[in-house]
Amino acid sequence: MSLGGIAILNSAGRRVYDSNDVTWNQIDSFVKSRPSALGGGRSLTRNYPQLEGREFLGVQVFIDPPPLDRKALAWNFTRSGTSITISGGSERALILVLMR
Amino acid sequence: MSFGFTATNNSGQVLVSSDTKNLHFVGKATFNRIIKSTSGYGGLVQYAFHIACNATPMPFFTMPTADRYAISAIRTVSGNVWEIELIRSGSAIDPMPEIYVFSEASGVVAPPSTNYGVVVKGSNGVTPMFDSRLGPLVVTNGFSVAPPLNPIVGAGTYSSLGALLLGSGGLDAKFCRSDASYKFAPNNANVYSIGSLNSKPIFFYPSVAQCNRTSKATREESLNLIIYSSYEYWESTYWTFYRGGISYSGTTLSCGWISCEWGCNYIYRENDRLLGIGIDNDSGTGGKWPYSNETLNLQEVPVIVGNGATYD
Repeated sequence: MSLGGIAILNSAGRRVYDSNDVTWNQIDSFVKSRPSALGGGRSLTRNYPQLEGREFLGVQVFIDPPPLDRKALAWNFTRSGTSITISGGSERALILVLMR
Repeated sequence: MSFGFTATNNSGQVLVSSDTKNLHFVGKATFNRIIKSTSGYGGLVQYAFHIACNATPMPFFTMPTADRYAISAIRTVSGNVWEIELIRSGSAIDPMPEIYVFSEASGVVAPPSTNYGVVVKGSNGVTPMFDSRLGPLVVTNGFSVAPPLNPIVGAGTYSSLGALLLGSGGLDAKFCRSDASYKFAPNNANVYSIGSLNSKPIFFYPSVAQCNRTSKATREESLNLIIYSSYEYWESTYWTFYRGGISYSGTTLSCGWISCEWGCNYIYRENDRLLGIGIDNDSGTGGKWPYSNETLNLQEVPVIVGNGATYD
């Protein structure tokens, strides 16, 4: 461990975290619904001040099986500063917004 | 930050922060049922696993064989019980992959077994952001992968005898009568050299990419006599719908395709004429029709790797 680092041990002395480790932390999770027939919900923008100076990772998992009678488009993540915009998708999806 | 706690690693990345939620080990999801399986089309096993979790789960899976695997869906089924769908190529159900589920600390149902540890709470003084007693996630590797545009290289592996007898690549044009499973088995993947992983790698990979491929077989038959003529036309469009999946072997990670749906649509037309006058006109269609013959969502998707042995 480098000077000034951190190490967290459990009660058995086994390492849980130290400064050599890497992780992704969650700053948001939600269900992105399908766009409405009138076009509402095609994009969503949220601001996360925690992203200031940090890496961002957006992940999505479909909730329903992809339909076979229309295109099932995934959502795109776009970052602008600390704002994240999710757009272009057509399906219900679980969205996780991660940072480190 | 004027309030709270932040610990970073040697690269300046956040490890623990009172502003963000670490992911913690909820438990291993339990096998519930097989949703669908086949040995054709390259094979498919679609598992359903269940886990009790009070927040959005993030499932990681082991890959016990060289088959391709992917998380295909996550949904709530009742109360705090979530269903995690996992698809796998090949026809073997066992050995089953293990599903390690992580979520924010408040999602962990089982209380900590000890009072020894570090807990970091949010600015409201209540919400647990990090709890060292709950097996916080350590990421050992991370990659970005995508499958190739086409799931099949070459013309498929349908028997040459079938091709000789039926033409059109060995598929029967009449009423979708062929078993097209061999022709559509995916055999193409992007291969990534990733070096050695830990002793029990667990992978988070949601299947986003999709692909539909069709193969059309047509046949015409006609008879022309002086007073009588007949014309018949058959067309069968065989199709398979694929979703992205990954496999791991040694020091390589592959991203390819898993067949998930398949079907066929047929049409026919018949026209008989006697002395130039139509006496029998008939047509029809049947079977399932694919939406499109294209590849969607081919953007790179993150693969996050942890060490399952840490949580066993």
